[in-house]
Amino acid sequence: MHLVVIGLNHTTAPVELREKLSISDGQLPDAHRDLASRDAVLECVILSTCNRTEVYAYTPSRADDEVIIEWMSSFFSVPAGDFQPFLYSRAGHKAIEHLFRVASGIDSMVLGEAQILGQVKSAYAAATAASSAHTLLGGLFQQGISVGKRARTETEIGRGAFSIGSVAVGVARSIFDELKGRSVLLVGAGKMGELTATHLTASGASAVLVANRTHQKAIDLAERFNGQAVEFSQLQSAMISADIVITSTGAAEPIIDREMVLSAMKARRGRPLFFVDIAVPRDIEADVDLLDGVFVYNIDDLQAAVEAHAKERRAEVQKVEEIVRLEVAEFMIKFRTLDAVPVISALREKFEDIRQRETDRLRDRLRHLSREDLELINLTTRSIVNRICHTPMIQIKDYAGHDDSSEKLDMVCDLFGICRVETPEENPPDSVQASNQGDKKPS
Amino acid sequence: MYLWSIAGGADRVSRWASLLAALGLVAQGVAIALDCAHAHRVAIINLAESLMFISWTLTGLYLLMERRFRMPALGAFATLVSACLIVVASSLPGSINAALLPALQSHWNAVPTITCLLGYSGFTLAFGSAVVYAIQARMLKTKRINVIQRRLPSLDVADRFAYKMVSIGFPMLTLGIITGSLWAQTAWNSYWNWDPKETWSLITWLIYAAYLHVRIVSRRRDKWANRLLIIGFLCVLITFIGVNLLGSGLHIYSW
Repeated sequence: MHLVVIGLNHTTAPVELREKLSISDGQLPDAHRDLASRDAVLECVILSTCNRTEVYAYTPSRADDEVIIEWMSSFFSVPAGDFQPFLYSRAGHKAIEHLFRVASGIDSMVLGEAQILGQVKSAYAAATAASSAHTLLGGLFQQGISVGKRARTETEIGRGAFSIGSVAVGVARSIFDELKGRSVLLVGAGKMGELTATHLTASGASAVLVANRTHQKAIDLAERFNGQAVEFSQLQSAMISADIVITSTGAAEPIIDREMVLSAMKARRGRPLFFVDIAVPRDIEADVDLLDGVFVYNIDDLQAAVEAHAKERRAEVQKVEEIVRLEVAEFMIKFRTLDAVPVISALREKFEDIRQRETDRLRDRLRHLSREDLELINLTTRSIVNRICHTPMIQIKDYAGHDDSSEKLDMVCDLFGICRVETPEENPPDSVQASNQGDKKPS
Repeated sequence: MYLWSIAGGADRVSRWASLLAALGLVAQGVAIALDCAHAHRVAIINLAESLMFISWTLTGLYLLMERRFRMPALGAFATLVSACLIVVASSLPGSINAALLPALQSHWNAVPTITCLLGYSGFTLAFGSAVVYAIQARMLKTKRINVIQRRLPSLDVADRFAYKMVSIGFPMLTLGIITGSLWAQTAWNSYWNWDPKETWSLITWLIYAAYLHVRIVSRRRDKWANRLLIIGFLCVLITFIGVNLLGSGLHIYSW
């Protein structure tokens, strides 16, 4: 049996190709159904984001990787030759490790980003909807999702800010705690300022005031935020009621000076005031930052914090790798036993079959024996089979715990003429077994 | 006891930490109760016992407030101070069986002591909160936005917590001073003797009164409010320990 992930991501493939090979959420269940309808695909989950498209599949053998590539080619209508050089393929524990790393966010372009975990979840949900994920991939993805959560709670990989806006939110939280009930004053109608204000309102900040030199623009923007436009000349009084001031005007000279802030602070009675100055050149005079209870963050400060946070997250990768390593080991145990289960049952079935045939034949020949004697023969043969099976069974289970389990299990199957795959058409025909039985019996 | 410091150090696993602190609290409560039973009196007469009591109420107060404020950094402060106090208290000569001075042979003596000590616990936590506030404000000012900074409570929470603590501690101290002077009347036939302990507790009271004034009447929350908390705590230290070290005045039996 073969567990594999085949796919491409932002490190292996150019964006044009990734776009061609991406699947929208709406298409996802259909894609799963389509792929799962292939005979060689026992289970599959397809993960598609803007940075990666990956197919996790459980197939009878390595050779079936071709089936997946062929499916990709037909599903996306892209010749296989066009994307094959960009594909990676990882099998067995490497595939498990890959999913766990992806779910933890350490395989992402932006290290530790949170979206990927949601995307892994929706991939799994789509696979469940299309009933293409069962014991193995179902278990794998459930554990993958929990690994993703674990990495984010037990390490700092998902912490800190990923953008200027989220740094602003973080600092605002450090000053005001909950942003609920806090108001934002947006000065200037720049895109960045608007984006930052959106971040803040999304994090709970309630009221938005907008001031702009062209008042009409302020009115338009205020409408978008369900806020209120204030006259540009009223800036100072607006600073009294607002807690967070975002400036992003195109003014060549600073528009907010020390005097303005000082008198606003007096009226605020020392309540802290947080300035986010995204404008270049700056909108707030440098000495405003020296005032007590006033926190001024300009674009460089915010950028530096984003960098610092990214650095902190990079330092956490090791810890996440460790979690992934442990979780992979844990899953491997399940995976391998899963691998051994069909072998063991096939082997048992086969031996029992042989025993049954031989005792039946014996019964025909020894008709003179009493019922008790025949029963005794039955019991004895059963016990012989059990004793012969005992050690190999234990050994097979033990193989399942090691790296080379696949080869060893293959060898066992080879030796006893059983097939490891439980697909109906590949079940060994009885005649084959019957021809072998004479040889095996004496052992 | 070392469990307390572990609880203090581990703000990452703050839920476990508070559970541990709660267990410590119960254990210490039992220990204090046993002390009382053993000595047949309220065991807060000498310095060791007072320290034990403060340490106990400190953790108790913090745990009471924890659900509302969620500031593990202060939990670390509370439990660490608490643990230090226990260590100091257990290294002091424990004179549990020492004969009491006649002036102290009344259960009523315990009332001003307990209320004052409760007040001091509140002020200690307020002080911790003020320190945390100062550190957080400093880090925000210097733009050190990192893991440590994120784990510290926000300015708003630190400020409200300190206020809450003073608003608990202040009435306690007030009550302590009043009952203390009532008791002084029965013991020394005078309500107020201007001995160092009394004087300093009055100064402490005034500082915290000033803080509350700043917070409530002028509704200011800034550096000055915070500084008053720190000055106030210094006065607490002088009242509680400094006066005894100077070694004069009527309250000097407290060793």
